[in-house]
Amino acid sequence: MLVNFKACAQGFSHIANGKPCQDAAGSFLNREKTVGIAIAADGHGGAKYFRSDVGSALAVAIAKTALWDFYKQFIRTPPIQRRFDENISLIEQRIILKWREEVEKHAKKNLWTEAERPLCDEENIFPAYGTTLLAALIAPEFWLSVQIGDGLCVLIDNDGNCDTAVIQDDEQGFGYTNSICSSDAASKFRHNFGTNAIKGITVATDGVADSFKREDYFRFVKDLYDNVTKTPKQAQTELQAYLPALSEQGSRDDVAIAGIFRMGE
Amino acid sequence: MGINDKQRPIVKRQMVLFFVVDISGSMEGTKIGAVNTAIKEVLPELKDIGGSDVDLKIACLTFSSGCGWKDPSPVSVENFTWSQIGADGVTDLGAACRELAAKMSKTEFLGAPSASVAPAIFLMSDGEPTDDYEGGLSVLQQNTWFKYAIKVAVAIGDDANVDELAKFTGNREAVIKVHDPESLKKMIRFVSVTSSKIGSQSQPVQNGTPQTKQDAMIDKINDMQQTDPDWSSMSNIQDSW
Repeated sequence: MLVNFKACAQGFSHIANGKPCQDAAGSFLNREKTVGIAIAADGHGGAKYFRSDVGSALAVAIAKTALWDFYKQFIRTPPIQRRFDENISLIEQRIILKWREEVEKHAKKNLWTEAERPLCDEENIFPAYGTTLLAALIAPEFWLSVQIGDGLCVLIDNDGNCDTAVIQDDEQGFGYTNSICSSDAASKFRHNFGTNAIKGITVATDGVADSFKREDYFRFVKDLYDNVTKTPKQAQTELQAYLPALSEQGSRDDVAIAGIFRMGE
Repeated sequence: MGINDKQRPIVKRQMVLFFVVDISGSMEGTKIGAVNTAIKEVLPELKDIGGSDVDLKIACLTFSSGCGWKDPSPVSVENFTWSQIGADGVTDLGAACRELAAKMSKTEFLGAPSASVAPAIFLMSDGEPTDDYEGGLSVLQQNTWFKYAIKVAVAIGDDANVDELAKFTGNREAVIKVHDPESLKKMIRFVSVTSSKIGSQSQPVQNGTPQTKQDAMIDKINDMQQTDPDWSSMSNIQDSW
């Protein structure tokens, strides 16, 4: 049986300068608690990304639908015809297209305000909503993770060891990130998958991951696993209460984390 | 352990501000005096930035006949102290470029515990490179950290080769000419503080091109040059070193 969690908090520096929280997180289980999805998204800071809080929330909702649809399609497909790499790339393309559609709808319904007009580019509205995206799915048959931009997706294997679930991109770090709003977003997505049994996956924006040394972050994920699988509601409350302090002492950035864990049998 | 266990240390992102300082013979006297005073005076302001969103560190590379680091590794701005430097020798900017390239890596000066944001590089020179500058710069331009860094150059006095400095920054607008000690001090303060603030913000990459940190820095330089009366009529100013 699976258990899920998510938490998100406005960054300490955003509180100080009046910016909204531009991160978003979501986690979902099917009714039987056998399939779970975890998603985190980080809307870009900077003046020209003035609707990235909307962009990150849209990305979470769209990724959820895309991954559910993928799973439903997967279980209808005969095993011999299942092609992970191709089909995961299709998920990524679908997410990008749907995100752009929803951004256009939002922009049509919500015209630029006086304050936004000097900052926007009428030729290309997407950067105003720009965001990263990390999403993972665990099912009885497989697990997968997709990511564009910075942040960290961590997998806990059956022996309880942590590792990054998606290959780190050389373009990440340096304070720069790839984005779903870029015209070349499809080529910047990374993904991974496996059919081995695992204990869980977490996805977190860089506001969380950058607040720890890597080995301490892995310890944090393991502590999350221990606490969430034992006392899920209490752990959820403690995590949500912890995030503002994490931001204040660490990255100062918005912070979002979500995960799916397999309860011990 | 609990989720909020205090034994699990929390860290800040790191940013390194590189001062690359020409200490060739022509800098002797008023020019190097102004550099010494300006860097010393800007440190308290940098400490304020260092206390906020990033863990700001400083590394200083001086070059004349050869080059060398003031400290063996970047020093936290709280602990960074400036001791007077003198000037003598030629202008081995090419050697400085190679040394910068060697140290700008995760295994050397940019190995933060959690994450580093793009560094800021502030080059100060009053003359013409005297060594294989093109070769050294070419090596430096292969370095990914350099590619993403904020790069600003101050051309000290009329003899500084602005075109060569523009090759370093990648943009003529990121080269600022100064003609007197007060302007140099002002510029050191402005570039150090502004690049540190801009450097700590995250920016998306478009089509493989990092966009706005250097652009944001250039915008700030342009704004400053338009609004500050000391900078608005640069073409008529005579050197007063």
